[in-house]
Amino acid sequence: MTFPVNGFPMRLAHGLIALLICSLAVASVEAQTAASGDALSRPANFESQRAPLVEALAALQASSGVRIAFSPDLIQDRAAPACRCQSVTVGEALTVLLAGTGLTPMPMPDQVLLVPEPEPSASVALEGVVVDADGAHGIGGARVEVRELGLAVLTDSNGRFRFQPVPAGDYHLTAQALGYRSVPDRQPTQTEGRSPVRLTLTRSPLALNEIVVAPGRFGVMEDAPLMPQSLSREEMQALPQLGEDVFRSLERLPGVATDDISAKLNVRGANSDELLIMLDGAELIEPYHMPDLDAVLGVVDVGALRGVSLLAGGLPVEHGDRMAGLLDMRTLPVIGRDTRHSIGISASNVTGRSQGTFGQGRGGWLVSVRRGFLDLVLALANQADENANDELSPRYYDVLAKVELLASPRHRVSGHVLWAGDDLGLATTEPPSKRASLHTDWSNLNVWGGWSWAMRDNLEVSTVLSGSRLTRARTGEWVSPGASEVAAFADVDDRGAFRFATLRQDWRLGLNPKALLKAGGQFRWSTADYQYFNAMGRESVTADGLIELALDTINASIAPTAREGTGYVAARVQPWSPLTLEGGARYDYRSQTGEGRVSPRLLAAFELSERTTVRASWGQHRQSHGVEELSVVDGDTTFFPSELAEQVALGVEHDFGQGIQARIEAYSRSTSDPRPRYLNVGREIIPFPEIGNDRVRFLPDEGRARGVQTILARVSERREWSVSYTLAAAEDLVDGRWTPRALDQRHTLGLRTLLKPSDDWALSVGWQFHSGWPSTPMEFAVDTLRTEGELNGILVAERPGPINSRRLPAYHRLDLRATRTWTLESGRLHAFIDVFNLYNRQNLRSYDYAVRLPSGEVVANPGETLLPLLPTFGLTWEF
Amino acid sequence: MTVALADGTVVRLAAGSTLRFAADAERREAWLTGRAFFGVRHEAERPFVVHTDLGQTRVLGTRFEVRHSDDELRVVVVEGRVSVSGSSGRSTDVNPGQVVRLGANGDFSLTTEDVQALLDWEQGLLVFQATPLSTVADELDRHFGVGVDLRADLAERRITAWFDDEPLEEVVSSICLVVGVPCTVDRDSVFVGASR
Repeated sequence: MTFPVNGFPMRLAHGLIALLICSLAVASVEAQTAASGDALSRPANFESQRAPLVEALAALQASSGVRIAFSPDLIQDRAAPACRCQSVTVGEALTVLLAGTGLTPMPMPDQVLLVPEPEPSASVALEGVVVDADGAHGIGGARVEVRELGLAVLTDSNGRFRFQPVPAGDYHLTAQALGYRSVPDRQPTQTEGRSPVRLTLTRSPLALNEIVVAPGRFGVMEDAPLMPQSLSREEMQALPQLGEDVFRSLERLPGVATDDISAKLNVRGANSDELLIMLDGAELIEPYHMPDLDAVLGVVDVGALRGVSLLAGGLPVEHGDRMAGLLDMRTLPVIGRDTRHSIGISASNVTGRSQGTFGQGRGGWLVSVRRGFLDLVLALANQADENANDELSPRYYDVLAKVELLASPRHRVSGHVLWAGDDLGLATTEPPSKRASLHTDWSNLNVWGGWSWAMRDNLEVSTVLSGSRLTRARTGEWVSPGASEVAAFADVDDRGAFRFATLRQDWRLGLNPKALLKAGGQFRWSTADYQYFNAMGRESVTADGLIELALDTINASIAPTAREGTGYVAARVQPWSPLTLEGGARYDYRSQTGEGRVSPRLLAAFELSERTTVRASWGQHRQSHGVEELSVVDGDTTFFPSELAEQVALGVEHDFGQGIQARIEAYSRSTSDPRPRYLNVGREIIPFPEIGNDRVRFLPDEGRARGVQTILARVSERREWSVSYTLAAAEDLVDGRWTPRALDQRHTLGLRTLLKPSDDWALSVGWQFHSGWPSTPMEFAVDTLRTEGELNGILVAERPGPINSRRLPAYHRLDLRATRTWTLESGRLHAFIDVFNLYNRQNLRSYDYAVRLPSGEVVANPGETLLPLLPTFGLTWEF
Repeated sequence: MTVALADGTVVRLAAGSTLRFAADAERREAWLTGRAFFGVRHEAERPFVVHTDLGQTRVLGTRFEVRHSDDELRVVVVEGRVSVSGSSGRSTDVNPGQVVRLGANGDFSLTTEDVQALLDWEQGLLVFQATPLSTVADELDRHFGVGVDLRADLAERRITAWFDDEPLEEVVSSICLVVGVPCTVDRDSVFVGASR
């Protein structure tokens, strides 16, 4: 529809051409107002032939449904430039119309302010207070963000906040707090002479689709709605952490267990492969660097993330095929954001990050590139250590890219790429003849596209089409001396290629303000190609006392495929204002096992008061045996049926005010139909775990994990702290005996604090303690070899004893990170120093074992300790 | 329902009302059945005319309400001046604070009343069409019940904007941003043009 501004087109229409039936106009305005997104991104359609600017603005306002506010005194009688503004955005039209006026558009959700362009001036402080709508009290713990700068702070117990000095200009402040309606972009403010700023939040029940009904949800870098016991983005950056890794930072959340070496997460006693990991709507498979060295880092740059949530208390029906939980990561928003770049260097990698917009702000892009240079660091270390026998050269990289476009007010499309790879070389020699060499080449490519369509105000459809390709090559040899020339050797050539194509669609229909229907499905087509060869020799003693070298080979070449289909439906209702219920079920079909299983789920949230919420869940969670999970290296060539976990969780959270929040949760998860897993119970990190003496096939009858988690936290402007305690048990039933799992932590205590003595400094300290992990003792069999009565040889064979029948000593460590920020003329410079295990606690990974032979000879299996004191540093320049 | 017309005029329509609008280089015309509040953008050369079955209301730029039923046309003027004429050709001018009623028999009745009390249905809507800040300040005082301390030299500065149920802080902030002056909102006071 055209809204002419001058007379020419009107004459074509016989004088009166713009006839509007008002009801149509109303419908149009309503639709555009309800649509989400930046006002500058809304479509507009009009013509201006050097009409007065105020008339052109009026036409723009009418055609777009976006209100335009301005001061006529700043426009006077200025004429608008000619503009055939057909199929443009409001932002594009204003760029033309406002050229040379000294005015600049400031977007609001459904309004644009035409404000005078600020004169350049020095940095100014930006501070203020967030108050309740009644104006009576400040809101502590609210998150306040300056959208244009990507800065955010939390308010103190009086609701006050203060940012470090920012360049003078106009900024949009957003404020969010638990139990209050968020007001993104509704509170514009101007820093010059305008501080302190007062932001008002209205206490309001959340919209039905915003209510968190599942217990056990922890947000990290969350934006909305705020959750208690979350880690803010700033806190994440200030926390002590190794390798700037998002997975490692999550170990500080209650119920999460990791060891120092691996980045994999064990959530509430589950195995690490029971956690579903998603990024921007697509599932990630094996998102870890160096999976052959216990997966030491994640492949996602933490600096490219906007939010991470960990859901450990039962999954809603739209998520499945994993038994323990969901780690959901979302990248930084790009639409309507300023162009920003950063370069960073730390002890582990260099990082480049860039984001910007196109199409007058309707689209945006984000690129993050990391290159790990542990190979260079280790090479330098080896050069300094003349006695070093190991050569380890790990190289890794990852690239994360996103393009997002608001194609129309109701259509948002995006494209994503996550590409990660490793190249690892390891050569070990120990005199006289023990040696090992390993080379791995690993690549993980994920490409996906998303399309989100708001068909109607109450109906949304999101579609994700993704393709993934994982390849790995692992070759090497291992030779160990023995009584004969060699006691054992292995030669391994392991190659694998895995491809996945997935189509997923989710529908959300708001039947009315009290009822929401969710439905959707997913189809995945997977192929795998396993090429594995292993020649292994091991000495043993025959019945007649002779030593023989037993040779064994595994030669597997299999290429399984799978078709996996899922459908789900669930309803969320609010039968009574404080009570929200969600019930549903999902159906999963797996062609690799021919199974079709139904998994019902129930979730509930009950607001006892404005400050107290109870959440509960019950559900069945099934986990299939994926095509990429076949343990060919251990001789498996067929898939096992799905495992089943039945989980119940109950949690209460309470906001005490003054920024103090608490949560207590209890959970119980029973697993049945477990499939066999292959474990190296001695915890030794070796190049070829499948040939280790400590390798066992572990097949329990059933499993259980139970626990109670408590956390108390307080946030204020200058100081934050939290205390958490978890009492838990994670066990498997093996041969009629409940056996603790490898990372079972009976008692876990965590303390952390964040101090900000000034705007430029942040000091974060974290201490954690947990009961010692279970440990499997190794047993030694000693054979003496005699020829004609004379001892001429001893053979010591090592094998695992009762699994996890002992306990390691308690684990504890203290970490510290200090961060300093400088505001430069061109951007900001952040520097940090991080000290891991500050008091150098020798935490054990496994016990030492030694056998003293009658001859006095000692055969020892040295135990391993976890990471010692480890200082690292880093610099990041944002501009 | 609130809509912006192609000429910049803002109209809030009461339930069950219908409005048609047409414009060319010389005139702006609307046909109304029911009830509507108009914030008309001032154009000296192009009058804005609201037609009803009982008569028409002619303005250049102002804020007023038209309520039309089978037996009465009522026009309530908040700002500016309007001219109301009946089908008989008789007309009368109506000033701010005045209400004119035109019956089906062509009788006019012009009274001075508390016009805000008559406009209770459009609560939440604030429309400014090149409105001086001094008038804006009075409107904010009436609307939000806050005192507005306006710097003297800003009294004649004008704004064009409309707000629909936005909170005070947001309205004040938007106004001050488009005018380019600092503002502070306290619990029961607004300072425009200076920090508190």
